[in-house]
Amino acid sequence: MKYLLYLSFFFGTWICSINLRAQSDLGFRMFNYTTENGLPSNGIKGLQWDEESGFLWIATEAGISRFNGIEFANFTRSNTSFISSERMRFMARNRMGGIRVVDMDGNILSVSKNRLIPFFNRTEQIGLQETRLFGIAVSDSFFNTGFSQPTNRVPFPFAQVIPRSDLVTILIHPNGEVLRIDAQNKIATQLTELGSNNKSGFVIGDQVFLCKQESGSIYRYDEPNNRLEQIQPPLSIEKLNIYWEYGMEFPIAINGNSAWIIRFENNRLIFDLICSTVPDLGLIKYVQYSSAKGLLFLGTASRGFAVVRKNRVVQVKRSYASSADLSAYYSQLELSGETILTNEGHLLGLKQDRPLPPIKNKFGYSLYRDGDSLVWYSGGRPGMPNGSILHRLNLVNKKDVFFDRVPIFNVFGFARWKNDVLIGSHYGLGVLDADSLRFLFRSDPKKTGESISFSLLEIEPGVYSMASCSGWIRFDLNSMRSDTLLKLPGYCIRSQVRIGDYIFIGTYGRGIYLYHQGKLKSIPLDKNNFLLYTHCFVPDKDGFVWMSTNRGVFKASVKEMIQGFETTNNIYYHYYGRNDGMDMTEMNGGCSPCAITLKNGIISFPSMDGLLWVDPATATPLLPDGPIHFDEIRINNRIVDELFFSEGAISHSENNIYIRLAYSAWCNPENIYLEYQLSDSARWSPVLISDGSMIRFNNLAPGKYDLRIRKRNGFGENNFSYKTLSFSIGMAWYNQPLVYLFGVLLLALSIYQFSRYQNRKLLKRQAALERMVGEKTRDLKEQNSLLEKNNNIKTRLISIISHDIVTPLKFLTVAGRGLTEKRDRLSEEVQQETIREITDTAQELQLLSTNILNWIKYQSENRRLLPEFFNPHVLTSQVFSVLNSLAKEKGIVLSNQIDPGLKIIQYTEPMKILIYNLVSNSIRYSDRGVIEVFINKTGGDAFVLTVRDNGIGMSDGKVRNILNDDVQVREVSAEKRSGHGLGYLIIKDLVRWMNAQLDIKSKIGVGTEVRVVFRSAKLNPSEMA
Amino acid sequence: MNLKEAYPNRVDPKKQEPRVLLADDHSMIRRGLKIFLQVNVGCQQIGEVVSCSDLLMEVVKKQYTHLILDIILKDGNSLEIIPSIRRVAPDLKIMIFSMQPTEIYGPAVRKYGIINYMHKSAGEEDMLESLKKFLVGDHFEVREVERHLAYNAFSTLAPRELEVLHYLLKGYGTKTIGETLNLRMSTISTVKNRIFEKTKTKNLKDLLDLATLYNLNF
Repeated sequence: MKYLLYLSFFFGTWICSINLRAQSDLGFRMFNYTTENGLPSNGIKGLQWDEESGFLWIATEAGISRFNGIEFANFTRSNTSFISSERMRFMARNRMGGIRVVDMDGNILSVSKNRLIPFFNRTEQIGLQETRLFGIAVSDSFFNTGFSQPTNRVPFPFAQVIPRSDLVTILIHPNGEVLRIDAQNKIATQLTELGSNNKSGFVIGDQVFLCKQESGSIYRYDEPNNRLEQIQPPLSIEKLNIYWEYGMEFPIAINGNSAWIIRFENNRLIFDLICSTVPDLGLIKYVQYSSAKGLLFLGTASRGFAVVRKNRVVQVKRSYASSADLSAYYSQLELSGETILTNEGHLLGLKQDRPLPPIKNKFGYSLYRDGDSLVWYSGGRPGMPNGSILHRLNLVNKKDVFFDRVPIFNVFGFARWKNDVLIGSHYGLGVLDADSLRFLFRSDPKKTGESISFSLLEIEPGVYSMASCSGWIRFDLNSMRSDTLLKLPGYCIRSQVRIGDYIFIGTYGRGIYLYHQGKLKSIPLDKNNFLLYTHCFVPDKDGFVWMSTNRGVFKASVKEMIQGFETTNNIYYHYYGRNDGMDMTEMNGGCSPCAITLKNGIISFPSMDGLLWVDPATATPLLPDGPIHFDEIRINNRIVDELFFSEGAISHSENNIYIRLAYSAWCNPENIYLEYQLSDSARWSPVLISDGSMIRFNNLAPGKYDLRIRKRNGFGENNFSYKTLSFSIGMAWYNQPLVYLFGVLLLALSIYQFSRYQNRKLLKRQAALERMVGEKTRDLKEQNSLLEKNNNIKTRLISIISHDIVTPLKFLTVAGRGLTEKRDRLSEEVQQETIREITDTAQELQLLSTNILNWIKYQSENRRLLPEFFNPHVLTSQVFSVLNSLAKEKGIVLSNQIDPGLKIIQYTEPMKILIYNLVSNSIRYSDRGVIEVFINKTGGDAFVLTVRDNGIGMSDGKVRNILNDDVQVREVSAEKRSGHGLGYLIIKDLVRWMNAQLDIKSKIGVGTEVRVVFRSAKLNPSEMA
Repeated sequence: MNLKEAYPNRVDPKKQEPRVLLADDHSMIRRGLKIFLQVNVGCQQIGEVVSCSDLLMEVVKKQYTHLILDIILKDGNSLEIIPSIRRVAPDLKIMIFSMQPTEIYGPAVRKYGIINYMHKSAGEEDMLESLKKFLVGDHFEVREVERHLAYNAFSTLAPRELEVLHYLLKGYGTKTIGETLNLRMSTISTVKNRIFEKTKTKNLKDLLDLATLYNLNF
């Protein structure tokens, strides 16, 4: 949008500009700005020029506009919250120097540098405040007194105020009356002495002047004496419109197309003509003038406003134009009377008296003055005006000699070498010898087309440089050596000039080079690179050099350019273009001379349309000086205050920053060098005017920043206006050190917890494994112990079998054989004893063998047994039937006390072995009495098997030994009282296997009671069925 | 047939009829041996004891000429009391009648001057021959003993070591063995280590296994 505005600005100025070419001066240019150029409304309600900021403030019927010479910044309700009515009533500068704008609602706004700020928000009724508003045009304190203009008067702004102090003003009423209003004392006094036919008033210095309506007279108001003194103006003021507002240095008088500054000196009014090109814009209501910049501002009632600028250069053209003539010029020859003869044969100048041209026809692009009287140029043959033959013209005797044996082109180089004439052309470099050219250096014939030579320059005694399309070539005529010092393939070197000790070299497409003491180097150019095509350099006497290009003319300080050569510093190139009075900005080059300095100091540049004359003395540049302001700061498209921006940390998530700059730009935009630098960056980045002078930052890293902005003020090293702004980008919460710390801690905690969890898990696992290992170890130990025990038992059994079975059986056989074979040798008693012994031994062997078998059987088959449902009474009876004979032999009664109807679920065979062993033990250790067997239910599924005898009993130690696990198996005793221990071993194993508990109560000589507490087992489902 | 009938040229008629004491803890063995002596040898004066204590009392109380002694009696190893028997009955002829291997206990009892050693597994004819010779005073046993003296791991054990070995194999602890043999525990430990060293065993289990292999009863 801004770009379009920028374009429309130029387009508007082009169609609105009027050629005010003047014959006697540089003339003026008027630019009319309307809504087409961005003005909110063409109805102007006030103009105020702020010299300090360089802004023109315009109050309109549709808002307030600020104009910096290039673009408008409009303040309307859409972008300014405190504007309630866009229709403005008036704009005034008061004694405080402040610019105040009053809208139709009576609200007052104030200008602060580049901004508008609310000053007064009207809350009362309009009618009550209407007459008070004029006070703001006097001073803020006057307004604040609340003093109202007398209600019978036409209110301001139709009246004119002439403030005299902060609280006193003179008010000229539209009806011609003059009032003196004292706000402090609340007094409004009509100055009847001043009459009632006053038209307007103005102030010059401290003098108040009144203009009378009927006579057009001007009167100085003798304020102390309250009387008028007529002052005769130099011009009749009958048709004059005099414009004055408080704050204007001088009143401006306009009559027709002329405008004057009115000064008061030596008790006389002096009218200084500003211009005589005031356009016809209808009713001009407001006028402001900047004497410093030479700008005249005219505000109209309905046609916007206009800016009248003084031209800096003048375009010199033929007074008449012909479609048959070419108006583009190259080589020039100054004649007398500030008249220029161009290569087209045209005489141009600002004066009417013109001499006869010394050259009758058109001539080529090269023309050299040789002393006061000779001119060397390329021209045609007689009768063939378009040829390219070297001519020598004597300006005194008008004798024109041509050298048709000297090969040149339309353009060639010329120089004096001692008394000889050097000619450089695409054929080479040679010395004019009589009527021909004696070549010192010849060009490559195949490349003659590339070797167009534009000029020769003696850079050292006897050393010449030639600017050509083959490069910048050095010819040392002393040593007859040539060197190409600068070769730019595809680009021609078209101009060279010595300024001081430096050679300035202009190329067509590759900018400017400087040569000094063997060092050749390009220098920085203008920001638009217009100087890439530099035609020529013309130094002036003030230390500046003027350069023509295809896009206007530049002025630069020679010193700065040399500094740019030596240090690469930026150079300020001041641009002259259309705003300075040019109709055609394309200058011409590739000719010699490409520009000439007239005897009066004016520089004449050939252009594509006439000549451009620049008087270095009067072409005062309109410099781009002035302060820089921050016009608007946006963060993520949200407008923020500068203070907020600089003091508050900007969130990292709102990191799209736009900063729009405001500055005065009444010069050419080409002369505005606006750059910014962020923090410590060494690089200055350009701020583009075409982009709305906007600086953009996106996604800046968190941290503090210092934004430096600078604007070139004009010539001179480091001649900048600076503006700085510090701000900071906040760190994302997740980038905060504390968050990092927290994160690290969290991570550490997580790792710790995880490790702890893993450790705990591992410990649990380890504990489980240890438990398992423990269980396994225990099992293994138990099994090992069991195996060991079993192994011991087996070992013992081997011994027992050997000792208690084999040997007794042998002697049982011996005894038996003795009885059967030699009974006669034995007494009856011995026989009986032997038989009894055999019987007992056989029974012992039976019991022992049964036990051994049971033990072996139990060891191998116990795990395969299943619970059975059986009658323990019957089972016990079966056991008794086996043991009854043994019991009877000893006189022991076996008593089955088990309930015949009792049925239990248990392992039948183990139970049988258990009862067998218990009863046989009791028989073994009893000699009398009764052995009783009981099975009683003790509750639930628990039962108690009891075997009670009246035997010899056991000591407590023996009982403990039996109940201990390390019961020993041993051989049978001779007395048959001490068993092998195998019986209890089996009993204990069975008890353990049945998950039962064994308890023995015994008393020596009384008997033993063995109790086995067991639970009913669960039947296998199939058996239950 | 009695001894006179069996060895008419060798039995001195002036000599008294042998009075034999059988010391064995198994009644059937005693009974069988007694009948064997009565019907085959003609011995009618035969006494019986089952324990070491009874043996000592019986030897002191009665004048036995011959003692047929089992090594393991009801209350202990008879090796313990042989020196005492020798003291109270120096003329008593003793023959070891045991299931214990001759090659192990033979050398030990010879240290007590006992040269007659009959294994219980001997056949009836050998047994009869041995008993007859023992009872008539022949020293055939020397030859018999020598015949059986083959070397094994237990052959080098001294009588005291064999006593301790007996209880070790029965599963007695050092303290119990010390109390039983009326010896100090350190002595028992020393003997025990010597047994392990001589038998080249490392523990009791090895010792037990080795004893079983060599038919050492306990």
